[in-house]
Amino acid sequence: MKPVRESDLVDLLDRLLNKGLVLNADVIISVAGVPLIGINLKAAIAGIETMLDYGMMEPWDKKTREWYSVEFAKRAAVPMIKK
Amino acid sequence: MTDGRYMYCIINNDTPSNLGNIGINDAEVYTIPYQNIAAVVHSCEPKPYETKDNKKAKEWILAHGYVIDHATKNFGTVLPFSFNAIIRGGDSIVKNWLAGNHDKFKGELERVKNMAEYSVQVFYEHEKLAEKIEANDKELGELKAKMGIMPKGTAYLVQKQYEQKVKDAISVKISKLTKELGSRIIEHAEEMRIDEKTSHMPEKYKDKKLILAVACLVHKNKVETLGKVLDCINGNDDFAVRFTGPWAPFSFVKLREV
Repeated sequence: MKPVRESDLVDLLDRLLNKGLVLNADVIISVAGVPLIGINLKAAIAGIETMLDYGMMEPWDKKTREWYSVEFAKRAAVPMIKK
Repeated sequence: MTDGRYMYCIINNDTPSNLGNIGINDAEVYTIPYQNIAAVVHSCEPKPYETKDNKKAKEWILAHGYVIDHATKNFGTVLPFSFNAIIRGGDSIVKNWLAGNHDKFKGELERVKNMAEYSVQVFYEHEKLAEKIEANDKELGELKAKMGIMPKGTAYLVQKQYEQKVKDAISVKISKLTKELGSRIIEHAEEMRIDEKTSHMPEKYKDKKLILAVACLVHKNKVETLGKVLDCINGNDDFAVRFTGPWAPFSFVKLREV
């Protein structure tokens, strides 16, 4: 069978919001030391696609920071099967 | 004042080029080279893209994806950035940052050269599998036969026992199948990762259960063979396979935080 690129948005979302390179806090845009990674955008999309397992979050607060560190921990913890 | 640079991807290329107004909100996308690698960016305000407008959010995501696809077509496999990775500063800051990370990026680009990410999802039909297990398991068959001639109270308890046994048998079968399928697929991939988060599925898979979801880094010469292997799995009555790609190696960039 041939690979397809159907429902691109859904597949792209998974990748663009959960995967790919991210910048560290030295260079990423931040406000008062809080790195941002499009919290509102995630929430906006999660609302319609109901696919992301984060709840709605208020940006800029302590929770955001915690979420950010958890997110990194999760990324780092993705199991890898080596050949 | 635009002293931010929105990062789409890192490419193997040494010449400055303009990719046109293909970026988020039709931003002009261009490359900032350093030695033999370059960052694909657009110039923006030094703040993240945020919106509560779903339509806009979708457009942004699709635009980011489009730039990555476009860059891949022109420059070969890229190292893709997550959405909203913005560097504070102008071209010279980006250049310095590339210089500082050059060897890491170059190494990664070489590693994924001529490869792309594909996603494979294998589904099964729970009912069908349960029926098969019940029909083929001797112990279960005997138990069922016994239930027919038991007093009602005892039969009830045995029924519970029976259901538990079917459940256990299904989970043993599934974990066995998952491993089998995984090892057949990985034969044709350079690397494989389990996709923990799976977004919603197209309608045709709605009533099926996911048995395996993986992202594979596959060399371009092996995509066809992987497709054939998936054909075999898909041809089996019990399974349905969803095979998507090619994608930039989102799941395989090892530099996560740079």
